Amino acid sequence: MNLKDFYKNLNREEVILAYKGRISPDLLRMVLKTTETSLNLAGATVPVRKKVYHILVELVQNLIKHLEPDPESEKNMALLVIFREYDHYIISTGNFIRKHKMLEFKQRIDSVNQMSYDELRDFYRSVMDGVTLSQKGGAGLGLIDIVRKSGEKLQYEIDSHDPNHDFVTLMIRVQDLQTVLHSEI
Amino acid sequence: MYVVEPTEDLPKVCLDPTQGNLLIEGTSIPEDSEDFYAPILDWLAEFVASEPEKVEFQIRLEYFNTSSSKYILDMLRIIEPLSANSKLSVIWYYHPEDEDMLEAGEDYKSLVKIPFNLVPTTV
Repeated sequence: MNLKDFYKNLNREEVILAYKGRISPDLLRMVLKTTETSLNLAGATVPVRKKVYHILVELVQNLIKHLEPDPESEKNMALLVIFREYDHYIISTGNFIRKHKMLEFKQRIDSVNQMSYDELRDFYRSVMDGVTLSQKGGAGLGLIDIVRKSGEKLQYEIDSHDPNHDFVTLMIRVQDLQTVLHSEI
Repeated sequence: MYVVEPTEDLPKVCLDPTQGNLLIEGTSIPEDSEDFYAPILDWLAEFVASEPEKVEFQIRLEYFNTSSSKYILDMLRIIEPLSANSKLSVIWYYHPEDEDMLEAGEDYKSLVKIPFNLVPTTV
Protein backbone atom coordinates (compact mmCIF):
# COMPACT_ATOMS: atom_id res chain seq x y z
CA MET A 1 0.00 0.00 0.00
CA ASN A 2 1.48 3.37 -0.92
CA LEU A 3 1.32 6.49 1.22
CA LYS A 4 -1.52 8.03 -0.77
CA ASP A 5 -3.78 4.99 -0.14
CA PHE A 6 -2.72 4.92 3.50
CA TYR A 7 -3.66 8.58 3.86
CA LYS A 8 -7.00 7.98 2.15
CA ASN A 9 -7.80 5.21 4.63
CA LEU A 10 -6.98 7.47 7.56
CA ASN A 11 -9.46 9.99 6.22
CA ARG A 12 -12.28 7.46 6.34
CA GLU A 13 -12.61 7.34 10.10
CA GLU A 14 -11.43 9.35 13.03
CA VAL A 15 -12.25 9.14 16.71
CA ILE A 16 -12.99 12.60 18.06
CA LEU A 17 -13.86 11.53 21.60
CA ALA A 18 -14.17 8.32 23.57
CA TYR A 19 -15.12 8.22 27.23
CA LYS A 20 -16.35 5.63 29.67
CA GLY A 21 -17.04 6.56 33.26
CA ARG A 22 -19.03 8.76 35.59
CA ILE A 23 -20.90 11.69 34.10
CA SER A 24 -20.73 15.01 35.93
CA PRO A 25 -20.79 18.76 35.16
CA ASP A 26 -16.97 18.91 35.53
CA LEU A 27 -16.61 16.11 33.06
CA LEU A 28 -18.90 17.86 30.62
CA ARG A 29 -16.67 20.91 30.63
CA MET A 30 -13.61 18.79 29.94
CA VAL A 31 -15.37 16.81 27.25
CA LEU A 32 -16.61 19.93 25.49
CA LYS A 33 -13.11 21.44 25.43
CA THR A 34 -11.62 18.25 24.02
CA THR A 35 -14.36 17.97 21.44
CA GLU A 36 -13.98 21.57 20.33
CA THR A 37 -10.24 21.12 19.72
CA SER A 38 -10.63 17.75 18.05
CA LEU A 39 -13.37 18.99 15.74
CA ASN A 40 -11.18 21.92 14.74
CA LEU A 41 -8.37 19.54 13.91
CA ALA A 42 -10.67 17.24 11.99
CA GLY A 43 -11.56 20.18 9.78
CA ALA A 44 -15.23 20.42 10.68
CA THR A 45 -16.97 23.53 9.40
CA VAL A 46 -18.36 26.06 11.89
CA PRO A 47 -22.02 25.03 11.56
CA VAL A 48 -21.16 21.33 11.98
CA ARG A 49 -18.93 22.00 14.95
CA LYS A 50 -21.75 23.92 16.58
CA LYS A 51 -24.28 21.17 15.87
CA VAL A 52 -22.06 18.44 17.31
CA TYR A 53 -21.24 20.59 20.32
CA HIS A 54 -24.85 21.45 20.94
CA ILE A 55 -26.04 17.85 20.63
CA LEU A 56 -23.28 16.76 23.00
CA VAL A 57 -24.34 19.33 25.61
CA GLU A 58 -27.96 18.19 25.46
CA LEU A 59 -27.07 14.50 25.67
CA VAL A 60 -24.65 14.83 28.57
CA GLN A 61 -26.86 17.19 30.57
CA ASN A 62 -29.73 14.77 30.05
CA LEU A 63 -27.52 11.97 31.36
CA ILE A 64 -26.52 14.05 34.39
CA LYS A 65 -30.18 14.56 35.17
CA HIS A 66 -31.32 10.96 34.71
CA LEU A 67 -28.49 8.68 35.74
CA GLU A 68 -28.57 6.85 39.05
CA PRO A 69 -27.74 9.46 41.71
CA ASP A 70 -25.46 7.15 43.71
CA PRO A 71 -21.92 7.74 42.37
CA GLU A 72 -20.79 4.38 43.79
CA SER A 73 -23.33 2.53 41.72
CA GLU A 74 -22.08 0.97 38.48
CA LYS A 75 -25.32 2.19 36.92
CA ASN A 76 -24.02 5.72 37.35
CA MET A 77 -21.54 5.33 34.51
CA ALA A 78 -22.04 6.02 30.84
CA LEU A 79 -20.26 5.77 27.50
CA LEU A 80 -19.68 8.70 25.22
CA VAL A 81 -18.20 8.40 21.74
CA ILE A 82 -17.89 10.80 18.82
CA PHE A 83 -16.30 9.72 15.60
CA ARG A 84 -16.10 10.90 12.04
CA GLU A 85 -16.91 8.52 9.22
CA TYR A 86 -16.29 10.01 5.77
CA ASP A 87 -18.79 12.83 5.44
CA HIS A 88 -20.59 12.61 8.75
CA TYR A 89 -20.04 12.62 12.47
CA ILE A 90 -21.65 10.11 14.78
CA ILE A 91 -22.35 11.00 18.39
CA SER A 92 -23.15 8.01 20.49
CA THR A 93 -24.04 7.52 24.14
CA GLY A 94 -24.59 4.38 26.17
CA ASN A 95 -26.14 4.25 29.63
CA PHE A 96 -28.24 2.19 31.99
CA ILE A 97 -31.88 3.05 32.37
CA ARG A 98 -34.61 1.61 34.56
CA LYS A 99 -36.93 -0.59 32.51
CA HIS A 100 -40.05 1.35 33.45
CA LYS A 101 -38.47 4.59 32.18
CA MET A 102 -37.25 2.96 28.99
CA LEU A 103 -40.75 2.36 27.64
CA GLU A 104 -41.68 6.02 27.92
CA PHE A 105 -38.34 7.08 26.46
CA LYS A 106 -38.77 4.74 23.49
CA GLN A 107 -42.23 6.12 22.82
CA ARG A 108 -40.92 9.68 22.79
CA ILE A 109 -38.06 8.82 20.43
CA ASP A 110 -40.36 6.92 18.06
CA SER A 111 -42.83 9.77 18.03
CA VAL A 112 -40.18 12.40 17.28
CA ASN A 113 -38.52 10.20 14.64
CA GLN A 114 -41.73 10.12 12.65
CA MET A 115 -42.03 13.88 12.38
CA SER A 116 -41.22 15.93 9.32
CA TYR A 117 -38.98 19.00 9.51
CA ASP A 118 -41.98 21.31 9.81
CA GLU A 119 -43.72 19.09 12.36
CA LEU A 120 -40.57 19.02 14.51
CA ARG A 121 -40.30 22.80 14.36
CA ASP A 122 -43.95 23.29 15.32
CA PHE A 123 -43.73 20.68 18.07
CA TYR A 124 -40.58 22.29 19.49
CA ARG A 125 -42.28 25.69 19.52
CA SER A 126 -45.40 24.37 21.20
CA VAL A 127 -43.43 22.54 23.91
CA MET A 128 -41.25 25.59 24.56
CA ASP A 129 -44.32 27.75 24.81
CA GLY A 130 -45.74 25.41 27.43
CA VAL A 131 -48.75 24.66 25.29
CA THR A 132 -47.81 21.00 25.07
CA LEU A 133 -46.90 19.48 28.42
CA SER A 134 -43.28 18.44 28.33
CA GLN A 135 -41.29 16.17 30.57
CA LYS A 136 -39.79 17.79 33.65
CA GLY A 137 -36.79 20.04 33.42
CA GLY A 138 -36.96 20.63 29.69
CA ALA A 139 -35.89 17.04 28.95
CA GLY A 140 -38.66 16.81 26.37
CA LEU A 141 -37.29 19.82 24.51
CA GLY A 142 -33.79 18.33 24.42
CA LEU A 143 -34.82 15.28 22.46
CA ILE A 144 -36.76 17.30 19.88
CA ASP A 145 -33.85 19.72 19.60
CA ILE A 146 -31.34 16.91 18.98
CA VAL A 147 -33.39 15.39 16.16
CA ARG A 148 -34.05 18.81 14.67
CA LYS A 149 -30.35 19.73 14.64
CA SER A 150 -29.23 16.38 13.33
CA GLY A 151 -31.79 16.34 10.53
CA GLU A 152 -31.88 12.54 10.73
CA LYS A 153 -33.70 9.93 12.79
CA LEU A 154 -32.25 9.19 16.19
CA GLN A 155 -31.10 5.56 16.15
CA TYR A 156 -31.20 3.52 19.29
CA GLU A 157 -30.65 0.01 20.61
CA ILE A 158 -32.00 -1.45 23.82
CA ASP A 159 -30.34 -4.40 25.55
CA SER A 160 -31.69 -5.97 28.71
CA HIS A 161 -29.10 -5.85 31.51
CA ASP A 162 -30.81 -7.17 34.63
CA PRO A 163 -34.40 -7.54 35.87
CA ASN A 164 -34.63 -3.79 36.56
CA HIS A 165 -32.33 -2.20 34.01
CA ASP A 166 -31.82 -1.91 30.29
CA PHE A 167 -28.73 -0.56 28.58
CA VAL A 168 -29.62 1.94 25.89
CA THR A 169 -27.36 3.14 23.08
CA LEU A 170 -28.22 6.27 21.15
CA MET A 171 -26.64 7.21 17.82
CA ILE A 172 -27.00 10.62 16.24
CA ARG A 173 -25.59 11.51 12.84
CA VAL A 174 -24.51 14.96 11.73
CA GLN A 175 -23.54 15.37 8.13
CA ASP A 176 -20.62 17.56 7.10
CA LEU A 177 -20.69 18.05 3.36
CA GLN A 178 -17.35 19.89 3.40
CA THR A 179 -15.55 16.81 4.73
CA VAL A 180 -16.27 14.95 1.50
CA LEU A 181 -13.71 17.25 -0.16
CA HIS A 182 -11.00 16.28 2.35
CA SER A 183 -11.45 12.57 1.82
CA GLU A 184 -10.95 12.95 -1.92
CA ILE A 185 -7.35 14.11 -1.55
CA MET B 1 -27.98 48.28 36.47
CA TYR B 2 -27.64 44.49 36.39
CA VAL B 3 -24.31 43.15 35.17
CA VAL B 4 -23.03 39.59 35.11
CA GLU B 5 -19.64 38.75 33.67
CA PRO B 6 -19.48 35.70 31.38
CA THR B 7 -18.06 32.33 32.41
CA GLU B 8 -17.50 29.10 30.46
CA ASP B 9 -21.11 28.08 30.96
CA LEU B 10 -22.89 31.37 31.47
CA PRO B 11 -23.44 34.43 29.30
CA LYS B 12 -22.59 38.06 29.83
CA VAL B 13 -25.69 39.94 30.90
CA CYS B 14 -25.96 43.70 30.97
CA LEU B 15 -29.28 45.33 31.78
CA ASP B 16 -29.23 49.13 31.76
CA PRO B 17 -32.48 50.73 32.92
CA THR B 18 -31.39 54.30 32.14
CA GLN B 19 -31.06 53.76 28.37
CA GLY B 20 -33.36 50.76 28.19
CA ASN B 21 -30.54 48.63 26.76
CA LEU B 22 -30.65 44.94 27.54
CA LEU B 23 -27.90 42.58 26.43
CA ILE B 24 -27.26 38.87 26.72
CA GLU B 25 -24.13 37.58 25.03
CA GLY B 26 -21.96 34.45 24.81
CA THR B 27 -22.68 30.92 25.93
CA SER B 28 -25.57 29.74 28.06
CA ILE B 29 -25.28 26.10 28.97
CA PRO B 30 -25.91 25.99 32.73
CA GLU B 31 -27.02 22.70 34.17
CA ASP B 32 -29.51 24.50 36.38
CA SER B 33 -30.83 27.53 34.56
CA GLU B 34 -33.22 28.52 37.36
CA ASP B 35 -30.41 29.78 39.63
CA PHE B 36 -29.03 32.01 36.90
CA TYR B 37 -32.16 33.27 35.23
CA ALA B 38 -34.58 33.74 38.13
CA PRO B 39 -32.92 36.97 39.37
CA ILE B 40 -32.83 38.28 35.79
CA LEU B 41 -36.54 37.64 35.36
CA ASP B 42 -37.21 39.40 38.68
CA TRP B 43 -35.17 42.41 37.55
CA LEU B 44 -37.01 42.55 34.24
CA ALA B 45 -40.40 42.42 35.96
CA GLU B 46 -39.48 45.41 38.09
CA PHE B 47 -38.07 47.21 35.08
CA VAL B 48 -41.27 46.71 33.09
CA ALA B 49 -43.30 48.02 36.04
CA SER B 50 -41.29 51.27 35.85
CA GLU B 51 -42.81 51.85 32.39
CA PRO B 52 -39.67 52.61 30.40
CA GLU B 53 -40.09 54.62 27.22
CA LYS B 54 -37.59 52.72 25.13
CA VAL B 55 -36.23 49.18 25.33
CA GLU B 56 -33.80 47.49 22.99
CA PHE B 57 -32.93 43.86 23.75
CA GLN B 58 -29.81 42.53 22.03
CA ILE B 59 -29.30 38.77 22.02
CA ARG B 60 -25.87 37.58 20.83
CA LEU B 61 -25.59 33.94 21.81
CA GLU B 62 -23.04 31.43 20.52
CA TYR B 63 -24.67 28.44 22.17
CA PHE B 64 -27.55 27.92 24.50
CA ASN B 65 -28.96 24.67 25.83
CA THR B 66 -32.65 23.78 25.87
CA SER B 67 -32.71 24.43 29.59
CA SER B 68 -31.86 28.10 28.90
CA SER B 69 -34.18 28.35 25.93
CA LYS B 70 -37.33 28.39 28.07
CA TYR B 71 -35.89 31.20 30.17
CA ILE B 72 -35.01 33.22 27.09
CA LEU B 73 -38.66 32.94 26.10
CA ASP B 74 -39.66 33.99 29.61
CA MET B 75 -37.51 37.12 29.32
CA LEU B 76 -39.21 38.01 26.06
CA ARG B 77 -42.65 37.37 27.51
CA ILE B 78 -41.98 39.68 30.46
CA ILE B 79 -41.06 42.63 28.23
CA GLU B 80 -43.70 41.82 25.59
CA PRO B 81 -46.45 44.00 27.16
CA LEU B 82 -44.22 47.05 26.65
CA SER B 83 -44.82 46.88 22.90
CA ALA B 84 -48.17 48.53 23.51
CA ASN B 85 -46.86 51.85 24.81
CA SER B 86 -43.06 51.85 24.55
CA LYS B 87 -40.52 51.74 21.76
CA LEU B 88 -39.56 48.07 22.05
CA SER B 89 -37.36 45.96 19.81
CA VAL B 90 -35.36 42.75 19.91
CA ILE B 91 -32.19 42.23 17.88
CA TRP B 92 -31.23 38.58 17.44
CA TYR B 93 -27.68 38.20 16.12
CA TYR B 94 -26.45 35.05 14.40
CA HIS B 95 -23.40 33.94 12.41
CA PRO B 96 -24.39 33.85 8.70
CA GLU B 97 -23.31 30.19 8.42
CA ASP B 98 -25.22 29.18 11.54
CA GLU B 99 -28.61 28.05 10.30
CA ASP B 100 -29.52 26.63 13.69
CA MET B 101 -29.12 30.00 15.41
CA LEU B 102 -31.18 31.67 12.67
CA GLU B 103 -33.85 29.01 13.15
CA ALA B 104 -33.82 29.60 16.89
CA GLY B 105 -34.37 33.32 16.28
CA GLU B 106 -37.27 32.49 14.00
CA ASP B 107 -38.74 30.26 16.71
CA TYR B 108 -38.79 33.13 19.20
CA LYS B 109 -39.99 35.62 16.62
CA SER B 110 -42.97 33.38 15.90
CA LEU B 111 -43.91 33.12 19.57
CA VAL B 112 -43.81 36.76 20.68
CA LYS B 113 -45.47 39.93 19.43
CA ILE B 114 -42.42 42.17 19.54
CA PRO B 115 -40.60 43.88 16.64
CA PHE B 116 -37.92 41.23 16.14
CA ASN B 117 -34.86 41.74 13.92
CA LEU B 118 -32.73 38.80 12.80
CA VAL B 119 -29.27 40.17 12.03
CA PRO B 120 -26.39 38.14 10.56
CA THR B 121 -22.98 39.15 11.90
CA THR B 122 -19.46 37.82 11.73
CA VAL B 123 -18.37 39.75 14.81
